[in-house]
Amino acid sequence: MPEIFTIIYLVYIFIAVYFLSLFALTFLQNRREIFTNPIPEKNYSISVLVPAFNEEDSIKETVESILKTNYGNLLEIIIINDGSKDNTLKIARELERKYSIVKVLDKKNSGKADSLNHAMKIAEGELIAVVDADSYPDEHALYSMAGYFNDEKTGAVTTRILVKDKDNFLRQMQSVEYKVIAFTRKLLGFLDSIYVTPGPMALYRKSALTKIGGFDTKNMTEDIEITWHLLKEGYKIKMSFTSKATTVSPDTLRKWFKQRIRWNIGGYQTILKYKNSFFRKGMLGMFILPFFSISLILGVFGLGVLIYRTARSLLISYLSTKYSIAAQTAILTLNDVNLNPSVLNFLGIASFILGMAFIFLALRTVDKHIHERESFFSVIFYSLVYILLRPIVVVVSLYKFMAGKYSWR
Amino acid sequence: MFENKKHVFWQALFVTVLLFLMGFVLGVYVEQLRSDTLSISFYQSEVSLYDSLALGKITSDSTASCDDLKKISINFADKIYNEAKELERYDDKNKLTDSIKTIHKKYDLLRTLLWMNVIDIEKKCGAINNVVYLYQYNTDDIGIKSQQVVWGRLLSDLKAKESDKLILIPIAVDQNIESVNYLTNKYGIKNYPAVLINEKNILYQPKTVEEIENYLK
Repeated sequence: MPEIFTIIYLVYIFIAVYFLSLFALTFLQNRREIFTNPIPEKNYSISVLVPAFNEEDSIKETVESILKTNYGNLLEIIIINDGSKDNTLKIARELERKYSIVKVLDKKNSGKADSLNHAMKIAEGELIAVVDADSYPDEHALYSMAGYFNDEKTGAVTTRILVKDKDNFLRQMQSVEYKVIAFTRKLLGFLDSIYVTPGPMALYRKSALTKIGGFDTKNMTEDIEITWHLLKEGYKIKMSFTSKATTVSPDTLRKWFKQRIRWNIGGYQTILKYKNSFFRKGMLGMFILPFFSISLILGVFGLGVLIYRTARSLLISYLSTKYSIAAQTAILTLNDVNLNPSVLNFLGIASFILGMAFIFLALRTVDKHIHERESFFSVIFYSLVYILLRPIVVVVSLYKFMAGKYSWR
Repeated sequence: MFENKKHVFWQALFVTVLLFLMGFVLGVYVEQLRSDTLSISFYQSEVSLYDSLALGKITSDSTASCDDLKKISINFADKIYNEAKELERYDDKNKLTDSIKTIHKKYDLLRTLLWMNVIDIEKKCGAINNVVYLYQYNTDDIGIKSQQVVWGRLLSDLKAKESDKLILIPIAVDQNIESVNYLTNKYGIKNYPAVLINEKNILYQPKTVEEIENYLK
């Protein structure tokens, strides 16, 4: 009978191989449809909402990028100034004077979800686009996304969210990550399992938003919550892979960590809110909720096992060094260096190679379309180091969530 | 909605189970190959031991010299000591099967027989310097594990220094071998790891090689 750690290791490898197989099969069965979008059967009117809090550096460029989109029925761009303390409101007013379709809604600070709910009340479009004030949709974005609303069951559509400036190493890592996420999300779209319509850019059916009562103001990640809410109500979530929106990603580890903590806490809030949907009919209950929860459990448990094993090895090394010094014998001998690999090492390496193959496939698919290329070193560092930060974020955010140590800003 | 998509979930499960089974079968095969290699060494050692035991019987007829007996015992002890080190390299590497553990137990029994043979030879031919290292094979105790690491290094140094003047016999005490239990009770050994020198002195805490040498003749 294998020992308990061997069984745990095998379970982890099984789950990893399962999801890799799932994504690989989904890709193979749908690869011809990845770069196709439905043509809009109707000239849907679109209102774009731009919530902004202290965004003086980027809001002008964001609004201008929206104005440059080639969509024919862009009704209005509503900038919601969420109590900014910088020049955001002044810049927004200038844009309002300059462009007739730009409107400004000024309010006290109450968070992104509440800002969007305020703007929704005055928005007149059939579709509501939400664009973060530091994000920049490309010119095809609205048109390529609108066609998915031909299906009346479609409640929201997302697009590829990519990193805008890759001017430091952390942003290069995030660039790789965002591309892998975009590819994975498109594959999940084929399974009706997109679990988030990311904040930087998403398009919603207004009637669907109204039906579910808008965005949840108590949730740290209103984009995850709204997606799950729409799924629960029977709406579909789709993704256009031919367009993109670029966004400003954190440039320091501190900001990155803060952002990820918020994302995770929002995820926990959403799991708790929809816990009654577990294993209920539909992809939310049958796949998304279990998938999210298993990821969380595996992350926390895996980190716990890793810490336990490492601490134990370190303690044995410390004690044996102490005894070795007392007994005046070698602290390390050649016999201690045992290079005989176990079968588990081979399985681990095989899983890692499969994982790397998936990452390269994702990057190849995304990069081919945008004529960009990530450096080989970035990809390797992302796969070996960056990805390992995730369990730490999961544990810290879980602690903060359980201790109630979190707020929107 | 789910019904339309679920075929790919089942297909992925099928592929995963298939890959996993292939990996598992391959893994068991590789581990079995390792065990087979070690088994061959074991059978050769087993033959050597029987040879040594047979020679012990002949000694009672005084036709074989004590020097020959001691030499054969030391050579055999060195052989299985080296095999023990080789076995140790694979000890925690077989994860899917228990075959190495079974071989380990057989080696422990073989080494116990050697120990008993050495005691017999000593009765007929006088003392032979011998060190029996009694350790725990299945322990999870960090303190015991770290002590055993140091004892392993110390005794390896001692053996290298004393060379063919010393018989070193490492035996795992937690393998449910009755003869080992009998012998450890006989010599009053209560805790492990323990080092029994010439069936007289018992050491529980690691000491320097020089200090251990003082207990040898």
